[in-house]
Amino acid sequence: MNHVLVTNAGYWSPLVWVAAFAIVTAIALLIRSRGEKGCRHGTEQSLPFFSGNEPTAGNIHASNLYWGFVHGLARHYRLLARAHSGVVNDYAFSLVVLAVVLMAALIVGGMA
Amino acid sequence: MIEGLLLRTALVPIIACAGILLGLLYRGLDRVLVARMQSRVGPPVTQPFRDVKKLLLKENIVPRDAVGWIFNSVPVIALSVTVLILLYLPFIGMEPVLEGHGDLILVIYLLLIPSLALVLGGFSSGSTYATVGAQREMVTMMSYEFPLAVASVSIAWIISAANPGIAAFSLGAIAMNPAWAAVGPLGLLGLALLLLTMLAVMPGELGVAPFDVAEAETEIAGGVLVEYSGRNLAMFYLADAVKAVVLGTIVIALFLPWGIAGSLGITGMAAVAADAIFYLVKLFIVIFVGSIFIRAAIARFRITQVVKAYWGYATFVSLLGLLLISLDMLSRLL
Repeated sequence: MNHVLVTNAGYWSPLVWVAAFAIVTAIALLIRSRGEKGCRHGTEQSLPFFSGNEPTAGNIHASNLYWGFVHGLARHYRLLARAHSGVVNDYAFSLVVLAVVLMAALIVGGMA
Repeated sequence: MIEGLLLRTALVPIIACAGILLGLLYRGLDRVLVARMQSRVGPPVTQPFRDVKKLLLKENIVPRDAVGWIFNSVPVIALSVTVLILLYLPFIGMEPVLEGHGDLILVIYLLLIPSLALVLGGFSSGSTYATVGAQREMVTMMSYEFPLAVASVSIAWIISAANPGIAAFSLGAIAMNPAWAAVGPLGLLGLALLLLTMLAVMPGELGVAPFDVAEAETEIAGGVLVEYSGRNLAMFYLADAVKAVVLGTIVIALFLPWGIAGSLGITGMAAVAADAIFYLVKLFIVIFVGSIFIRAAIARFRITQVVKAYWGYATFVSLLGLLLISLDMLSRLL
């Protein structure tokens, strides 16, 4: 059993890939460990570089990767958030409405 | 079988070190040659080694708004995956260390990871410049992927047509069965166009001028790498250096796979040494044409021009090459 995924033209062994990746990552980490580890915290050098200018929109943390989408689609998200009330009866009502619409579509489509 | 496995495992660190050293050496040559072409003296060939040493001595600053674990981990991933690709390639004229465990399709997918690491690093750094750079890197990546895929798949197609039943995407098989020998005059012209496409893709993959829009020091202050410093930047620096060797080796494996030992009638260890030296010469020529010369000759494109160059011209040239190869195959069937 050689654990190689074979198609008509190609092949790949994920286990060997993972093993080789582990070895080269260990080498990369070894090189990295030779470098200076820390820095002076709480100084200006940890501020984002902005060519000496004041940031125009305030600093948005990098974890908020989709800030642009969230901001641009805010009205759409508000609508969706309102629909998710957390009350089971509301969800059941939505399902019934959806089922009625689908049935109507099927009946009308079948008759046509 | 276990002996073979142990030998391959032992070869991994050797290939990794050789790839890194060779990458830095070619980077040094790159800088000297570009300087000479621009009538400058330039740095010594060993400058990249000094650069890495200097970066490892510098502070490793993580910006206040960054996502620390992504910011710190992607440089390591970029370097390790770039070195990993070398293990699937016929490096220094030898059979790939992981021959039989991964093919050309895997290599093309793996090539995406260092660029994606750069994109993630840019987004995770919480810098406006880095975000712009990351978006540009993504657009560049999407632009050159199609011509790269057309060139690679065309080679595999030629080899599978000439050798039915062969694993056409195997890099070992591609190196053993040069595509040039399997086509007629039209196919030769088509292959020349595909080689041209691959050489055009190289500077985009390497992020060097005129396709260095993601970094663009004079415009967006280093773009994706603006917030990187110290050992993290050293990792990206090393990954970049190894990537030049990786791309050069892919071009050699697909288009220039011949050795020189057979022609000279050499056997044994002398043959291995002769093929290794011949590989290094081919690698230099490929890197010179695909990166050094272009970098020195052409100023940076705008992002719209990068997209036009790849989606327009490079795609057209690659499809024209594929068309000529198809016509060549049809003319042989009739």
